Amino acid sequence: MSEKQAPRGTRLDMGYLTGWQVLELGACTRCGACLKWCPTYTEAERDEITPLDKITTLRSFLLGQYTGPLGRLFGHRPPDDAGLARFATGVYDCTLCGRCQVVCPVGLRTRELWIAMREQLVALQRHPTLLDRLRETVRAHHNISGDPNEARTGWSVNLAQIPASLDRQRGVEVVYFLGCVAAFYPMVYSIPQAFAQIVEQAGVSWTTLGGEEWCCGFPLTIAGMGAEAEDLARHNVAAVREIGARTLVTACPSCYHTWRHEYPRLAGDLGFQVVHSVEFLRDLIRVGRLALRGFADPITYHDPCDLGRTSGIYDAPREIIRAIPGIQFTEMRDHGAYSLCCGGGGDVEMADAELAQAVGRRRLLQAQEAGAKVIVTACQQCKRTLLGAARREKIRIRTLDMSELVLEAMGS
Amino acid sequence: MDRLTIFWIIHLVFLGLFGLEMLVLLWVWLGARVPGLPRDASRGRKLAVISQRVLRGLFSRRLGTFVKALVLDGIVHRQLFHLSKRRWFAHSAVFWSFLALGLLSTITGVAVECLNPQPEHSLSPIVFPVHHPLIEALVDMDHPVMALLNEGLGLVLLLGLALAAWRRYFQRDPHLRTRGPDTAILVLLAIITSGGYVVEALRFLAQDVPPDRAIFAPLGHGLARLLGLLPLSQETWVGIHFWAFFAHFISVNLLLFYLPFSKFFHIVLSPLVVALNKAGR
Repeated sequence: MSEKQAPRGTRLDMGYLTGWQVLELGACTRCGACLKWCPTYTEAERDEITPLDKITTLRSFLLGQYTGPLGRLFGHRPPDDAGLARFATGVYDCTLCGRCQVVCPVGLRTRELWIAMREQLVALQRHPTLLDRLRETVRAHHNISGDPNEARTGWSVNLAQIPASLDRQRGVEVVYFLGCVAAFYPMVYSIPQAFAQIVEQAGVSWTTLGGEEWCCGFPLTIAGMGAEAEDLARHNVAAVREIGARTLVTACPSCYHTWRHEYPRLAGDLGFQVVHSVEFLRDLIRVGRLALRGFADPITYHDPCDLGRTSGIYDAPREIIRAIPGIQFTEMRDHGAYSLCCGGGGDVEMADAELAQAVGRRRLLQAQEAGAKVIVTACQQCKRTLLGAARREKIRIRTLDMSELVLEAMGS
Repeated sequence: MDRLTIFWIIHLVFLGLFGLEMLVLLWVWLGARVPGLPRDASRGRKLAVISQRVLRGLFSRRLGTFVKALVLDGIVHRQLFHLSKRRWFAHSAVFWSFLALGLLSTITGVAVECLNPQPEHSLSPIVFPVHHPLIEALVDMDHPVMALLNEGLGLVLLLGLALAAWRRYFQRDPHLRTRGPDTAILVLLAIITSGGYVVEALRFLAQDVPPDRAIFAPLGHGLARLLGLLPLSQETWVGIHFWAFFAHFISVNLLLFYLPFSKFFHIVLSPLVVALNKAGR
């Protein structure tokens, strides 16, 4: 029987949660501090999306299932079809932005909890069916778009000069890991194009993995299909080791998080350092290998969730911005650890595309409120989501990735 | 059988049930995954590993961070303080006075049952009779300090409950979600706390406690004076007090019984979780 045909279950398995997470379910005070910070609840106003509802529901399910009549005496019921359907909607209508974690007075590690819930739902076949397609696509093509993986360097075709070292050049210093979005979505081709031009001008010896770059596995991990990502991890690590580079740079915060925090758990010491492009560009600026001239329009900066809250990188992008002479930079109302999500995280687009767009719209309005004509980010998925929202909602604001901002500031 | 003997029989039954519930929860909890162990590891193995890790943590440098976080985040709730002073006050009023009253009751129970030189009932297992003013104060319900402490803490608890109820039912804070269990806990706590004053007033009437002693429990004393206007005999007050006492006492035990399965269990878990999260699990 294939996975799609497997019967939907209703029996939960405690093994999807760590003992710590079970304690966290009981430690939630139901104070509601998370509600006003939840980007999808703010838009949809459905209770099942709220962090406190997800936590209360799962705790009640577990007590109802595992403690029998005792649990039922106190109103806890084991999960049933309707209850699980409602629960799954809430769990998958979450961008995994992690703002609830920042504001939780108890400091619950909610993001990890939501992913554990998704793993449980996948095991019960209660996940959105589009995620099955995503899994099949990644299995078959090693990327999320379903295009032939050899086309990963397609973005370079329009460059005035295609770098000679572009595809699997051995012995270089730096491997640039594109990520599926930058490699296969033309609306953000400009990000790797900008990065390539910058590093060429800075004289960095670099390459990409070309068709040997596989999806990092992040979309599957956050979908609750983490086990599927292990082969991808092993392949990618081996491919970079084969090049012999000392540094892996990626402009995708999700890839960065996966490389930096997940891969070492699977592959041990990687043997090379992993940095995000904002750190890499900042270091090039610090040592004077990039000369910035200026940027005319007022800008604001959008902290990508996986770069900021998940990986703790807030200062590097701001250091780059402040290094641009004469730049007019204003923070948005929600920034830093409290930054609002763009709507593009957590695979919400696959579960509820309209909801993801609504979150993106709100973020763009915050940028306009800050008086910015350009919203700069450091994530190709954020750029794609914000660009899409701006087009659909007819909001006149430019969206740039940090690499593009730097290239423009260099006057190139 | 005297009143306190019945009290202890009931209380021991509920304590046994509470212990049973905690064992059930422990069994369920040990079904979860323990990082570093195979998913199918036995509960015994998990318990052994967790115990080792806890002990290792207790004797590590992180203990200082843990204690600091336990005090500042788990007990003082500084994050809530920065978020909203009013919510912090309401929460702290309930949290601290509930814990203090529970602690006071436990200490009093130990003093009455184990240290009291003059046992009050047939089951009293005097272990170590102590002649000391502190023990005398603890076993004397009308001692000024004890009376003021119990009344004062009860009032703080009631104030906290009133503020919580105001936010939940009248102000209707849009960030709160009120369900049956939320109301059940508030109602149960309110019944227990306000019931304490009623029982105190009835005791003053039943035992004919002189006003110069009763005055240290001003609320109970005032209520007793009001109830004393009713044309009832001393014997009737004794009977009413007997039943009111057990109603109050059983409601306390019901809370104990409900606690592990209620949302109120966070009072036990959240200080621990917040401290360990800050100290780094």
